[in-house]
Amino acid sequence: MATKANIEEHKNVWVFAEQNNGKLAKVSLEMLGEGRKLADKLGVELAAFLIGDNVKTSAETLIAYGADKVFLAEDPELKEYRTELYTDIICKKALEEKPEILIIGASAIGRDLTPRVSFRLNTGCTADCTELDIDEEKRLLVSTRPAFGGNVMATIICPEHRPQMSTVRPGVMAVPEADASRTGEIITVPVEIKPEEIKVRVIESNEKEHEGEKIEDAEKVVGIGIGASDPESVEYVKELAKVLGAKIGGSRPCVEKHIIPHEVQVGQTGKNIRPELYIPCGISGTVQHTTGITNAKYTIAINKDPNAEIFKFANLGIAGDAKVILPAIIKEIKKYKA
Amino acid sequence: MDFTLSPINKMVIKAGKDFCERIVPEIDAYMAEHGDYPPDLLEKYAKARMLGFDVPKEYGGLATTNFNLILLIEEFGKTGSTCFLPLLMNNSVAETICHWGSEEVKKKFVPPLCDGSAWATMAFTEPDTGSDPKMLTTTATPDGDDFIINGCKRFISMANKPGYGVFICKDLSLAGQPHDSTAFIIDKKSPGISCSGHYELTGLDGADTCDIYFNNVRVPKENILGKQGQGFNVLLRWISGERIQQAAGMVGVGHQAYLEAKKYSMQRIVNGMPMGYMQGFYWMLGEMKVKIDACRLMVYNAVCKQDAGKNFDTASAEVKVFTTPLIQEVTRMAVQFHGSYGYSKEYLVEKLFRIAMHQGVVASSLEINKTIVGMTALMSK
Amino acid sequence: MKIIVTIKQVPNVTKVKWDADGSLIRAGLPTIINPVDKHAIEAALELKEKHGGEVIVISMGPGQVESALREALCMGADQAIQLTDRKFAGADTWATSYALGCAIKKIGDYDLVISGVEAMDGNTAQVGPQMAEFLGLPLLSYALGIESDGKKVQIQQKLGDFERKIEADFPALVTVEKEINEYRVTPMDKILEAFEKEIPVWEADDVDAELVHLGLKGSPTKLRKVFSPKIEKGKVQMLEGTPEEIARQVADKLNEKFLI
Repeated sequence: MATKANIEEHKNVWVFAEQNNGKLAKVSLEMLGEGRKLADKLGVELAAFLIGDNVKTSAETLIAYGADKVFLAEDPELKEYRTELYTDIICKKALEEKPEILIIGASAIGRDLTPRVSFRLNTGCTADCTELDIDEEKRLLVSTRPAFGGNVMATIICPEHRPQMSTVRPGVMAVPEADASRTGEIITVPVEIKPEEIKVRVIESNEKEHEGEKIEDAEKVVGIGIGASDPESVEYVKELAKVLGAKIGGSRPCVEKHIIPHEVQVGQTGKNIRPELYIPCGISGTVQHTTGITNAKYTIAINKDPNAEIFKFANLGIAGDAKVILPAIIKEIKKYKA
Repeated sequence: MDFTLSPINKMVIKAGKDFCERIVPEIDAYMAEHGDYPPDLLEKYAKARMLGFDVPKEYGGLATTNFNLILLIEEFGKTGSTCFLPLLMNNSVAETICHWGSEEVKKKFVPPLCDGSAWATMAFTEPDTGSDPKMLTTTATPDGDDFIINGCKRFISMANKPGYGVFICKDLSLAGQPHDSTAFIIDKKSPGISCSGHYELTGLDGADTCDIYFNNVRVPKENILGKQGQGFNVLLRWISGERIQQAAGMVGVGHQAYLEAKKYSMQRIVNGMPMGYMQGFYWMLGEMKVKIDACRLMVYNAVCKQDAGKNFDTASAEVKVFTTPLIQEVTRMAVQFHGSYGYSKEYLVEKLFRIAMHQGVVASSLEINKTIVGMTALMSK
Repeated sequence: MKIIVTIKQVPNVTKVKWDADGSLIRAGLPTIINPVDKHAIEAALELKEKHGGEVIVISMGPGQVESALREALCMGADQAIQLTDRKFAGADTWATSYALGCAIKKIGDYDLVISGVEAMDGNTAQVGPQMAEFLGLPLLSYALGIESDGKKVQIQQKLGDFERKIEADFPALVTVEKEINEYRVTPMDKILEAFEKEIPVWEADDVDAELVHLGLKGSPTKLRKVFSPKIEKGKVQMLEGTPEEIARQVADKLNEKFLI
């Protein structure tokens, strides 16, 4: 790194506000909540950076969720996300405004955009954090992230370069309460895109079919593990999920056996969930899985092995075979609902 | 002798493991369902360039050692799958044709065995032949530039698959001579050839072993492999290599049986402790390990003689004599380790036990090999 | 078509150890090619088989990275280059991307750079995009499919909830997902050839890299500490009884918590 930043010049916390087809990404709201905390600790302003085509209404939303300022860059060419165009706009403004922190949700777009921005700004970026904090003495962003598939946590700082950048895993931070009475400033960022700057052409873009909500947003989740992966148990898990109105998630081995799709894998290499109710069935509770369920409010674990690790994460534990226990539970729940 | 594995040897093993982990399960599932090899099996081997180890490059081979081949085979053995038999057959028959064949024969028949477009077969056994070439009843009658083949061969692998087989027949043009067997390379889809259904075997799940019948099958003279009257020599030389390869596969079977037993002994809790910690069981484990290690060394020793171009007939027979009972014993112990579970199809060990039983009776019986080893010992100075 | 594939060698273990400075202790750990990087090699080999050309694989790391490169040659890569220099040690993603970028510049005259989306040890997914920035290349990330006509590259991109078809002219950088292909079993003939090949070792000076950007010193991010994740474990109440009795307790509890 050649040029170290003149640290004193840098001030304020920025959040990149991701939108898709005009709809703000939930993770960006989570970032606003976290950014607000960081800005308050530092005693500075929180700004959101919004890029797209015709997305001004979202700017108001960002203010309601905690932004003091919104930088708004609009152009028809910005409708479809493209790494280089977005990088150009953010970097240009960051060089003028000199934020001290820039945090971005670690969504697909966030993970694509952030490294390029950080490289151009000659600064570091900590990927996929699960915790952010401020070292108030040194006025540093302290980012914590899992590494080696969640077997270790690493705390990373960026002492001599600005902005300090981190991406944060979706679902880890809470979405703050919106306050429609909040006021803020919307600053239009001039955009001028020359045709020769458009290197990547978007031929087609389709939103994938989704079965309702995502697992990370689900209020109730029934988890399926290798211990309940026989066809009979799988059927009971499905029925339980149906009577509860829950989403089905599971551990990695079940993804590998094609019992559940990768989108609903819970844990280090999958999703972090934060449901009100989590019922892991036949999941032994390796660290790879359990790091994804720590935000579950109430957990009822079912496992044949009474010493399974999963019980250490549960409120209620049932040592038994899922295909014996589940039909009984389904029956009881139906009674309650009747 | 130093059996330290070279980086190439290690990479061959790694590739074999990868093939066994990613591709063998789907092959094995097909075989379990259909009781036969998948039609594209050889294509898969050819894509991984696993056909033609000891065959010159000009005939589509790899020009590498039999040692590399047996390292690969041991990995297949560990899966308990039968799917490596055609891999062995194409390798060994291609090598055999390269050894005995004229330039034309090599050019015509070896490349299809290496690129996987032809299934190889080697056939000597008949309903009442045993290991005696004098007892052959499948005849080859000269007729102009051709021979006419009539008769039947029993327990023949891949007999019903398209490709080429080496068939050892009683050559009627040599009637009355001491050595009257001749090896013919025959296209298995020739007119006049038909096959029985598959035999139901104890092990070798999914193998396509059947009888093949010849009814006035015309074979050109050019298809004679080696010289007329050398048929039995062709067979003996082939089977010396085949026994080593078979044993390498069974070392894999035994090794896996040992690993399965070890795994189970750590999972199964008896009196609050994994049962592996009981002396009776870890003594058994130790014995299994020693037996397999010794078998592997026997195989390495014989294949190195083969690669060095030395006579390895007796060494190969010794491999069969030594390894067959030991590996069968190891797989039996592995079943025993698992208790009642070991006798159920839920666990791999029963499959390993069943496949290990074939070594004593397939590709020459244990007893005929004892005869070879014993007579060699008796006659040596 | 000249394709450069960047690969990483990673430890193949779940339990890793760190020294007092917070650096990973690599000695004695079994290593593998980062799994998704094998799909990157496969994608390059398939493009080469369709369009001709060559595949060059590079990797940065300590001396043992040679074995990963050797394996890439066994898969069928034409050439492998090893970046090994004590000066590279301790690099974060910025300094890693810089060093790899310098090597790619040195090779020069390429059409495509392909890498895996992320490494299984760090999981940052940063090096691909950062190399693209350093080299000034268009970035086509998260490829589920890749096609080329010899002049431009088109990918099927998995962008979160969206699937897009995007394209760019050569030269470009593509990062691939493991769904893009099934990588081949290392073919025996290539294994035999691979051990005949020389793998040149390039040091920092060989790729004209500036010292100040390299290794630990050139890394803007610093590791402050490493620790095992502490997960809060509640006191579990184990339910006893027949399945029916257990089910009743579960249903009561769910009702009490307004969950049904």
